[in-house]
Amino acid sequence: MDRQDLEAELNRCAVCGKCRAVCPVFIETLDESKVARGRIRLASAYLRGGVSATKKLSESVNSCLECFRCEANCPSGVDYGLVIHGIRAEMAMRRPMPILLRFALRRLLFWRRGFDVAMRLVSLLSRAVPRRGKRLRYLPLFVLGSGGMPAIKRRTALSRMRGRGESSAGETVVFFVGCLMNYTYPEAAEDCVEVLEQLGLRVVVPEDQLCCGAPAFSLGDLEAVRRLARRNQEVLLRHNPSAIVVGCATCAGVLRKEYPRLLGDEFAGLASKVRSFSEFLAERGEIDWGSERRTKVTYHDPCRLKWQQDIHAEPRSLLREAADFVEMEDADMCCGLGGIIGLLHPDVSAKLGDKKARSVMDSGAEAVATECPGCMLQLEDWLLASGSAIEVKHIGQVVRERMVGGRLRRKEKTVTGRQ
Amino acid sequence: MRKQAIDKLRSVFPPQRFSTSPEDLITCSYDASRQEFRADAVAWPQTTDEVSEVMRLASLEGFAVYPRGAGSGMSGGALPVRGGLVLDFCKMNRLIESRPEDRLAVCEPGITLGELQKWLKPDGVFFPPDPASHDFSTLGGAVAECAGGLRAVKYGVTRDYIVSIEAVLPSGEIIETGRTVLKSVAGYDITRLLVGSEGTLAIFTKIAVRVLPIPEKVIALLGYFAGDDTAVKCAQSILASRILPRAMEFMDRGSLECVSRYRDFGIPGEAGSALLLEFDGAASAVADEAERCEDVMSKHGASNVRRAESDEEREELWTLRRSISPALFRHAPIKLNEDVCVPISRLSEALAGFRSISERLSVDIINFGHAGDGNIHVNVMVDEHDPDELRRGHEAVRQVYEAAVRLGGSISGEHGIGNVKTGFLSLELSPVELELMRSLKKVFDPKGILNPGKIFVEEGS
Repeated sequence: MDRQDLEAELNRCAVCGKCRAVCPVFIETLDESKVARGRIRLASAYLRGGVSATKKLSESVNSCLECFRCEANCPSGVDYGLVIHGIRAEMAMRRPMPILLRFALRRLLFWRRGFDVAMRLVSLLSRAVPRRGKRLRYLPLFVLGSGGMPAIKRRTALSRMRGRGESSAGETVVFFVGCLMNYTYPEAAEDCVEVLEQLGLRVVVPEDQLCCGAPAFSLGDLEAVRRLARRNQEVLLRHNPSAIVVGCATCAGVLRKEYPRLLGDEFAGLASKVRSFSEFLAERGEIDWGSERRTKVTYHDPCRLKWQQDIHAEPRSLLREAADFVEMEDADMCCGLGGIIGLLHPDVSAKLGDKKARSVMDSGAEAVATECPGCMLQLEDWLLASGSAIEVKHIGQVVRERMVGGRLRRKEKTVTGRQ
Repeated sequence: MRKQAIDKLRSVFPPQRFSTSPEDLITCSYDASRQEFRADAVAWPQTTDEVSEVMRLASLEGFAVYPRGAGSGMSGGALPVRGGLVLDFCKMNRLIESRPEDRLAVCEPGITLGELQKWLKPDGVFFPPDPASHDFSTLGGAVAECAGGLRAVKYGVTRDYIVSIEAVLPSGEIIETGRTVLKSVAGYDITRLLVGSEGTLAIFTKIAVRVLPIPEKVIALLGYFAGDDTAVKCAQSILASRILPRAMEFMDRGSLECVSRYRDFGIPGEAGSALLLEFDGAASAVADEAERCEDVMSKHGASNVRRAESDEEREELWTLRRSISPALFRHAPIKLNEDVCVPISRLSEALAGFRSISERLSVDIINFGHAGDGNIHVNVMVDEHDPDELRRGHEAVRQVYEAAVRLGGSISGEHGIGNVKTGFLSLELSPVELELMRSLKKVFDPKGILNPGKIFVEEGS
């Protein structure tokens, strides 16, 4: 993507205002500078020199949840991902990034051991502050002045699954773990991998896979993303997998949508192999279910999955088989943790989180399933705050609990059309 | 605006509801007409008293004031063309009361039509006007522009549903037009005068609307025809057969071709036009109407007729209609989107006229829209980088207006005049009528401070 691409995309906006009807941040704030149309007009002015990189402009750009609801509903077909990441990159170019952040994006993310140590350190520090409930430990994020941080598990998913699948044979898929699952929900990642193995697949979990680059996108460091993408491409395609299965909606969206459109066609091959976990099961899995009681489960649509990848029927049909599925009100409304809004606009994030928790509780479910560790974090947080005992699970965990066996459906030649 | 005026305004609003920052001025500088005008200040009022105080100051200090809703207007009606103060009503959006037993609801102007429907639904009633922007446009904006919509065939337009308006005059005085009852003939009908006045006479602060019971059942029908004429004749026969659809949308060959390139809707290759109809009412009556309509359609040679009863099936049919805009957008970089309205009986002549304009000036013209009320969306497709084509495009627009007026129609069915059609108003209105309107404007707004530069060509220019 270059500046001309960005300008062309900004011009594509018909200024109709439809995004005001769907943007979760606008609905909460009623602030035109915090909706796609307003950001697009401000960005145009910024590129023309009509407005400078003020605090207000940063607020406008950073208040985006990256939920892609506006993109999915845009009558003019504006590629909003290109717009928001393009503006952030333009703004980042004109203003030096804090050294620590730059170090994290350009160095730490590439250095798995160092990253592990840093996360361990955070984990240890977090033990020193009071716990809130069973799952979460709160550490005031003094750097960014926000609410809290998730508990970091002692052993990462990648270390737990080291060497897995490397000696076995058969059709190979690679599992992409993603940072949040790696450090916070390693057990969910393991469950996903076990489900895939029970279908008879050889599942490789390369230990040298890196962060997908979502935080670097959000902070406008496209160079860091490009370097991460190149390394990931090499690592993930090394075993010549038939698919790259991803358990995190954000990582899947970044790998299959944002790599090719922001970094170029060199990533089209990688992107075409990416499948979200439930999408892959719908396409290829034939699962045998056990006979124990089915728990009442509701489903929360991760924004990136529904709006960016058009995946919403697959997880539901899976849950209808795996559990006693109930739909909740506004299941596809953002939980409030997208992008970096949780850090920069905790008030908006809190309103959305609280609403989401109430929808979950009103559904009467015993557990809520989703397919994004970020959503899991936010759901746990707000259910806890509401005093609810409803469990939050990755959809892979729900499947794993009742699955007794299964096999692979033959690969269909047709492309799913989601690329 | 003078600094003194801005300082005085600051004392009317809390700091978070008044701004002169460039970012806030940019985000209220545009609307769907894709023009841009920068104001000097913007405020987000929440009470009638605040609005009244603003207008008192504006009369005193002589600055211009522009009421704004969602900024979704198509004709520039809310744009601060002369600088001054924008009053953005999106935060004055409360629902004051629903009185289903009186068939009335009262709300503030900043509420979106979508929110209004959501709020009315538990009472089993709805507000019929449904412009394409209904899920984000505001009630205040809909009243100011007298918005129409798809359901106008059966239900009429916004003007038919406004019972009473609380409004602030340019002097700052507060008036309440009409009474919140369904019948009232005490004095002139100021309410009707304010509806469609495009924010030039008074600023609405409270609106009482008439609501109707939500129909029990809705059925949609879609059928394809050989050409424009057959579809229009079919539409006229349907209306003449004592059948009243709530929506009757027409799509010409150009629209269908564009949509087919955009996505596969299974449109038959030979289709030269299409009609999409919707019926609502009691279940038995609707089924009967739809059946009779199917008969009429088949008599007119309709092919591939599809009937949709569930919400999902209907949604599928409407997706076709809704895809026209994005599809056209891919077809040509800009479209000049006009909304002329002609008598239904003269639709065929109008469409033939538009076709010959298109051929004469060699610009693409694609037509679709509301066949049931004669309101056709005429899209002149041009490339803005081609100055000659752009010029021919604008000439085509003028000729489309002239053709519509000649057939007894109007240059704007539902978008309003705003600042984009001021030069064409005299095509439709006589000098006497224009002068009467100007005089009315002067009675309400002698100093010309409320939404200047709209509807009329400036005197002396």
